[in-house]
Amino acid sequence: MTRESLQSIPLEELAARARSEGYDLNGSVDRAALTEFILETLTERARERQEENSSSVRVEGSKYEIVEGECPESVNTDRFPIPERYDRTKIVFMVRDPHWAFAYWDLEEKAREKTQVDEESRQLVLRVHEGEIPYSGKSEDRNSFDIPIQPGDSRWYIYLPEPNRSYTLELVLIIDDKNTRLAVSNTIRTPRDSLIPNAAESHLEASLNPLFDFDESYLAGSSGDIPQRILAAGSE
Amino acid sequence: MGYLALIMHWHLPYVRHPEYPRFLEEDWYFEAMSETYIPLLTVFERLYSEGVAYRITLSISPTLAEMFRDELLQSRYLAYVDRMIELCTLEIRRTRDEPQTNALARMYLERYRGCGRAFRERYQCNPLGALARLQKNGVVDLICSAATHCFLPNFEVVPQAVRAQVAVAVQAHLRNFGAYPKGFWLPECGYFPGVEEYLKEQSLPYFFLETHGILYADERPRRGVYAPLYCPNRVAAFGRDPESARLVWSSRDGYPGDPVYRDFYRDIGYDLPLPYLRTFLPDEGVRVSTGIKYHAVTGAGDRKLLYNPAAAAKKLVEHANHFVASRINQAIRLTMAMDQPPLIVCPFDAELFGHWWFEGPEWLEMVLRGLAEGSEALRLTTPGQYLSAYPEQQVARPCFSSWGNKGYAEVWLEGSNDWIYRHLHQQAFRMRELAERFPKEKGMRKRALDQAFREMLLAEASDWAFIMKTGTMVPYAVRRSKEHIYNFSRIYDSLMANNMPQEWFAQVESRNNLFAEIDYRCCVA
Repeated sequence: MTRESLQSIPLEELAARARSEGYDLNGSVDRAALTEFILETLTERARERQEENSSSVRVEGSKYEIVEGECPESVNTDRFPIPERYDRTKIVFMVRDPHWAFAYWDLEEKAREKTQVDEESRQLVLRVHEGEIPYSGKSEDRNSFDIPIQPGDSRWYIYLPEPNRSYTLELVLIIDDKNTRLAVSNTIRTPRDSLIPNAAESHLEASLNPLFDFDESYLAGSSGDIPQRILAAGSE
Repeated sequence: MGYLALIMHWHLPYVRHPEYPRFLEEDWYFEAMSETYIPLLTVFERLYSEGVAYRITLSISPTLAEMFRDELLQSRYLAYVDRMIELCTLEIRRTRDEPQTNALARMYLERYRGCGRAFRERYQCNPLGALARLQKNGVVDLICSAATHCFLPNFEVVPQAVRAQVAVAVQAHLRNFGAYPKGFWLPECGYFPGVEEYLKEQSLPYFFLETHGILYADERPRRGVYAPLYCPNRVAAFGRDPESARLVWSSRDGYPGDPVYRDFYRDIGYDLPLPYLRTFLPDEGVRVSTGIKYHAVTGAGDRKLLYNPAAAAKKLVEHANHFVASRINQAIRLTMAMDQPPLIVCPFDAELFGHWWFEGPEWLEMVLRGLAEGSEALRLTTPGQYLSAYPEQQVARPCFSSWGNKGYAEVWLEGSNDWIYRHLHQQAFRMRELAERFPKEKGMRKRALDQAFREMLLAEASDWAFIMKTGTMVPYAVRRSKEHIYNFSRIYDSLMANNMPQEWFAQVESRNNLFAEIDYRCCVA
């Protein structure tokens, strides 16, 4: 999005764009002010994105930087309709980093209907189990916790307490304290986030060992930030 | 004595749009060709012809190799060079009263003329032959990457997708280079425990990891990242050396950020009046990077000094000497702490050189010369050579990791791009279903199955999720994801209903035409 392209769009569209970026219109609509606001917002966002990225990501990103600001619309993606969901019951669990994982799920029509009945005693949860779930399928209270979700949800980021641990998810419908399993995920293992210590080496010896003499800040660490659980407008 | 292995990963996603006379995103390829691929090939060929005893490992992604051999892109690249020559000529006229800028405009004109000549005459419009020759001459080892550069950890739950990415890559490499790949580049260094099984199936002996992928292995690596680990199945994992990586990669502490080097961001495409640029720009009102950049990095802020090539050349010598000397010192230091010669592994994205860091190819040439001249303390090698010389290595399973931000899967799995995986996993299941249902097809149905397979692979490219996350060219990345998912679904439905829309199918097949010899059956074990 360039100054020229902003100057060429109708004022109403420009105002709507500025409003969507957080501009307080406050009655007055001045083209120059709106343009400046949008450009500043885009620049700021680009700067934030740059700062978030590691050097590898920054270099790789430069391959695709051939326009200033945002890229123009490529083509109307309505031409490529894709299903919102697939009619199957399934939950998939994916590793993101040592403390965060991502899950998405689909339910067959019948199962979905069950979850959507509006009753106070009805609760849908993601049950996070440490380890694998025994095939017989009884949830164990020990080493598990529940995350309440809404019937309309279909994906979630989950904080997992321990690196290097296995976890499995269960999608459970609770009605009047009775648990019904709707789906069970694959089991994931969270990555390690540290070097296994050498028991035979003292702390001083370890600190003098050139094989492990790294700038700690350079080595990767898990993200403490809560992942954006957003549905980016227009991307789905 | 120690060893140094330089690894360069060459990659771009498959971008080819015959349905448009000119297409903005094809410029990714044209810019990289002029700024990175031709300059690097020129360096490697010159060093070889001068008898410099260097060794380097090049990972050529299958999508890039397919673009190298595509005739439409070849002719479009020549048209791009002609446009650049025209723009440079205009620039020489426009800057005639500004001697320093004028000299830079002339420098660019010479560069583009040189690229055009090399592409047409030396490479006959296809650099694959030159790469194969370098390998045959014993100075380069060629390895491959996943078929469409899929971020493999996010496909762990669909083994058929991972298997297909590796198998198609190996087949394409054989076809493109006439030789088996000597190793494998995990896209984005994305590793999940178990991915080595798919490499083993294809007899690929080694791959590369980010530093912590080795350090956080399930057994403490006795030699740090300075020797490979064997996974339990004997496929070797090499870890990136953080010390040398920082010197080259970091825009803040590294060489490319030096104030005298040419600035990547400032470009006449953003500085000059639109009417002047109009014939060059692909679309009215959309400013694009032209590749003609007159300013030096200078420092933070918008005020930039004009680029001075002589000052940059002086700094290059200093930086190349520093890199060589510091690696030799590092090797001496490490040798004293190890029971075998240390191996320092330096992997880079090729597009860092020339495109992002303008002076990068010259720096690399000086480094290769400096290292090849010989020091008793440090020699250039390749991972394959090192494994042959030192076959006994520790066995341990590396850690899930990548070289992306924060070191795991965050770049390719976050709010902007997580919506794609539901579809990508589903189409991998469906592709397998198709392969099992139609195991021995020929003719039109085989073509349809092969095309479904291509669409599945194209949708899996890590580039789309990456672009959605980093925020440049997002509409194009979304479009590509949706387009391939849609194409796959439509072919799947048509095959199931035995009712293929012929005209539409022919268009899709001619547009997304990579991997000519693909066979849909390879996604079944």
